Amino acid sequence: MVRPVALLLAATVLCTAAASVAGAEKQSVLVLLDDPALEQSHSTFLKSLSARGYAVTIKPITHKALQLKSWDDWLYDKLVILGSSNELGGAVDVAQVVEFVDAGHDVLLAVDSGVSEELRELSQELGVDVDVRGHAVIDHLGFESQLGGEDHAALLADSVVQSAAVLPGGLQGPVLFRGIALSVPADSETAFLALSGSPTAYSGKPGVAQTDAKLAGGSMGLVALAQLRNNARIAVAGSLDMFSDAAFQAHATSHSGQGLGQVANEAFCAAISKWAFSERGVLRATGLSHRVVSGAEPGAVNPELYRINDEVEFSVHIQECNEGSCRPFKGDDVQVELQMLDPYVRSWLRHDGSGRFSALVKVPDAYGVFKWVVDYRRLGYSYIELTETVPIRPFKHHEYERFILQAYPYYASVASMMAGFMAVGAFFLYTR
Amino acid sequence: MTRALAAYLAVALLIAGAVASDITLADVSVSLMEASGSIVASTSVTGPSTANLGTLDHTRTLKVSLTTSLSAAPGEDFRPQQVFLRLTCRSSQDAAYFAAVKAKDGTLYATAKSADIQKQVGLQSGAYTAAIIVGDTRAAQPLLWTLGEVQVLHAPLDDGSQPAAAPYRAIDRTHKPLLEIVHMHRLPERRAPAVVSVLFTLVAAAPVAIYVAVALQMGANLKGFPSGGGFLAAAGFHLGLLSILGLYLLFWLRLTMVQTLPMLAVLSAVTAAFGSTTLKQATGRGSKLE
Amino acid sequence: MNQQFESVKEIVAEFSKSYHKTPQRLKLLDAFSICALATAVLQFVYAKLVGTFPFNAFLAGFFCCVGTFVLTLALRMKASEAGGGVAEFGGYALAMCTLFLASVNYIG
Repeated sequence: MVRPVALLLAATVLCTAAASVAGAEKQSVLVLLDDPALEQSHSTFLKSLSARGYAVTIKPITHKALQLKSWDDWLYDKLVILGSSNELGGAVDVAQVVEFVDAGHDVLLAVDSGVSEELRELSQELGVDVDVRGHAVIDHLGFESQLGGEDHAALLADSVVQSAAVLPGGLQGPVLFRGIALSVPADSETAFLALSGSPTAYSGKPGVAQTDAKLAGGSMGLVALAQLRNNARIAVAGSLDMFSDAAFQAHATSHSGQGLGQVANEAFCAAISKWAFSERGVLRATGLSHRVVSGAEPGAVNPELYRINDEVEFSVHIQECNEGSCRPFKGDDVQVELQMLDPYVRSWLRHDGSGRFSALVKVPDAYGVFKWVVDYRRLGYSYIELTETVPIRPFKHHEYERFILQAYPYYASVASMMAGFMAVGAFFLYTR
Repeated sequence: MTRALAAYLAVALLIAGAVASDITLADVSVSLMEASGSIVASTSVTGPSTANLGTLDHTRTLKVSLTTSLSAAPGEDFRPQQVFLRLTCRSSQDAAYFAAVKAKDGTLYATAKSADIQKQVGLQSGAYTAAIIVGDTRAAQPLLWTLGEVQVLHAPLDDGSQPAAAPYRAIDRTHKPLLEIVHMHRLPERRAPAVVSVLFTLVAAAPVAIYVAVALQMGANLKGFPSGGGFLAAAGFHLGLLSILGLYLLFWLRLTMVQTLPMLAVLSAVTAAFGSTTLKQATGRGSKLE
Repeated sequence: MNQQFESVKEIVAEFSKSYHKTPQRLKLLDAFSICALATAVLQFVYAKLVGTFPFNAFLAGFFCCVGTFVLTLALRMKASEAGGGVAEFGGYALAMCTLFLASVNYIG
C-alpha cells in the first residue's frame, strides 16, 4: 500500500530534478521576426537553433509587450533579429539592445534592403555600418541567374574570412546572397568581414546609373562579425533570404547559365550563428601562476615580491572551447609582458601540448610595481586579458657580493692601519 | 520613320526582355594628366590589353573616358548602370573603385588620383592593374576590360622615398603578435685582472711594514712597559684594544651590526676601565720622569 | 733664479736641522702619519689605474687611512705640549676604534 505511493513520489521528485537540471543547462534565445511569415520560410534555420540546445522564443518585432529585461534580470541569453522595415516594439529599443550587449550577451542581426533607420542605428552602435536603405548589392558579372536574372541583385559570394575559429574547413560552395551591403570602418579593432563582395560587385540603387563607387569589391561586406571588448559577439548579415529554406536548398547557376552545384548557405549560416553565440573559438585562461626559479627565494610559488635579476617561470593554462568541448589550446603566438607603464619584457609563451603555456623570464633590473600582462587578441577568437601585479625590489644591503678580489688592496690597507695603530700606541707609550 | 519605328520596337522588345542586348564601348582612352591639365600620356584602347600606362604620382590624375552604346538601341543616349574604373594593387589584390560621370559632350569619364586610392586601400604604392567594368541589367553581357598597368606613387617622404605601406585596417595591426622585448640588464663593471690586485695588496701593506722597520731603527722599544703593579692594567688595556679589533674582524666575516654592538659595548667598557687606570699611571710616571 | 734655488735649499737645510732636534716620540708619530698618507695615496693610484669597482671598499680604505693620518696629527699636536700627550692617548684610541668600526662596516 505504501510502496506504490513511495514509488510515485520518488518518480515525481526525480523527474522534477531532471527537468530542472536540463532547464538550467539551456540558454534562451529571443528571435524577433519582422514578418510572422518568416517563421515558416526560415523554419530550417530556426529549428537548427533548438536542435543545438537553445530554448527559442519567437516573437514579432513590433510586439507590444516585448521586453528583454525584467527589473534587473535579463530574460534571455541571446538575441536574434530578422528585421527589415518594422521598428522594435514594446520596451525594447536600440539603447536596451546595446545594454544587453554590454552585459555580455550575443546578438545576431539580419536585415535586407528595406532596413529601417532604427536597425541601421543599432548596427552602427554595435560597430557595423549598414548601407543606405533602398540600396542593394549588385554584381553584373557574378549574379545568380535563377533569382537575380532580372536585376542582378542576387549573387554568389565566396570570399570568406580565413579563420579556423569562424569557418573550420572553409566554404564548400558559394553563398547565395540577396540584400544590402555592410561596411566596417578601417579603424575598427573589433569588427571584421566574414563574407565580402567579389571584385566586380558594388552597392547601389538598382536600375539607376551609379555616380559614386563608395561601397564596392572586397571592402564591401555582406556578413560582418565583431568580437567586442567584453567578449560579447555580434553578427550582422545584410540578407534575410540568405537564411531562408529556399536558399538552403538552392542550386547555384552562374550568370552565364553554368551550374555550380549546391550552395553552402546552410553550413555558412550555421557556422556564423555558432560563432555569434560563442559556441566556437572561445578561449579560456585559468591557473595563472609564477614561480621563482633562481634568485632571492628559489622555489617560491606566487611570491609577494621579486628581487631584480630573479629568474621567474610564468605559466597559464589556456583551453579552446568549440561546441561544448574544451581542448588544450595550441596557439604559437601567445605572449606575456612584464610591464610598469611600458613593457620591459615581452616573451613568447610556449605550450607543452596539454594547454600549459609557460615562459622563463629574467626580471629586469628596474624596481617598482610591475604587472604580468597576457593580452591575446586574434581574429575569430575571444580575447584573453590577464594581469597579475608583482612588485620588484632592489638588493638589500646585505645581499651584495662581498670579499671581492679587486678590493683586497683596500682590505689590506685597513688591516695595516689597525696593525700600525697597535704598534704606534705601544711605541709611543713605552719607548725609553 | 522606319528607323524610329524600328528603334521603338527594339526598345519595347528590350523592355519585354525578349531581345538580348550588348554594350559596345567606343573611343576608350586612358590618359595621365598633370595638375595643370596638360596630358603626359594618352593611350587609345580598343580591347582588353596589358599595356604599360605610365606612372600616376601624387601630382597627376588618371582619366579614362569612353562612350557607350547599347546594340539594341543604337543612337540612343545610353548610360550603363555601372561604369567603374578599378585599380587593383598587384601585390595585395586590394582594389580602389572610381565611378564614371557624364561629361558635357556625352562621354563618360572616370578620374583617379593617388590620394583617392590612399583613401580606399591605404598607402600602397607600386604596380596596379587598371580595368573598367561596365554592366547593366539591360545588357546580356557585362564588360570587364583590363586596360593595362599603372605605377602608383604617393606623396614622398622628406628624403624622397615612398611611405611604408602599413596595414590599412586597424584590426590587422592590433591582432598580431608584437615584437619580442629582451631587457638589457646593466652590464657588470669591468674588473681588474687578479695579478694587479694581488700586487697592490702587497704594495698597500708595505708602508706599515716600512714604518715598523723605520721606527725600530729610530730606537723605538717597549722597555717602558710597566711591570709589577701596573702590568695588569697596561696588559689589559692593550689586550682590550686587540680584542676590539678582533671583534671587528669577526664582524666583517660573520656577524651583523646588531650582534656586534652589545659585545662591543662590553669590550669597550672593559678596555676603557683598564685604559683610564694605565694612562693615569703613565701620566704620573711621565711627569715624574720629566 | 739662483737666489730662489738657494733659498729653497736653505729652507730644506734649516728644516732638517731643526727636525733633528724634535723628540723621538714625536718623530714616531710623524713617521706613522706619513705611512698612513702613503697608504692613502697608493690606494688612490690603484683606483685610478683599474677603476673604482667596489666603490664602497675604495672609499672605506681611503678614508680610513686619511682619518688615521688626521688623528695621529692631532695626537702629535697634544704630544708636543707639556705633559707628553699620554692622557690624550685614550681619546686617540677611542677615535681610532670608531674610525675602524665605520671603515669595516662600509668596506663590505
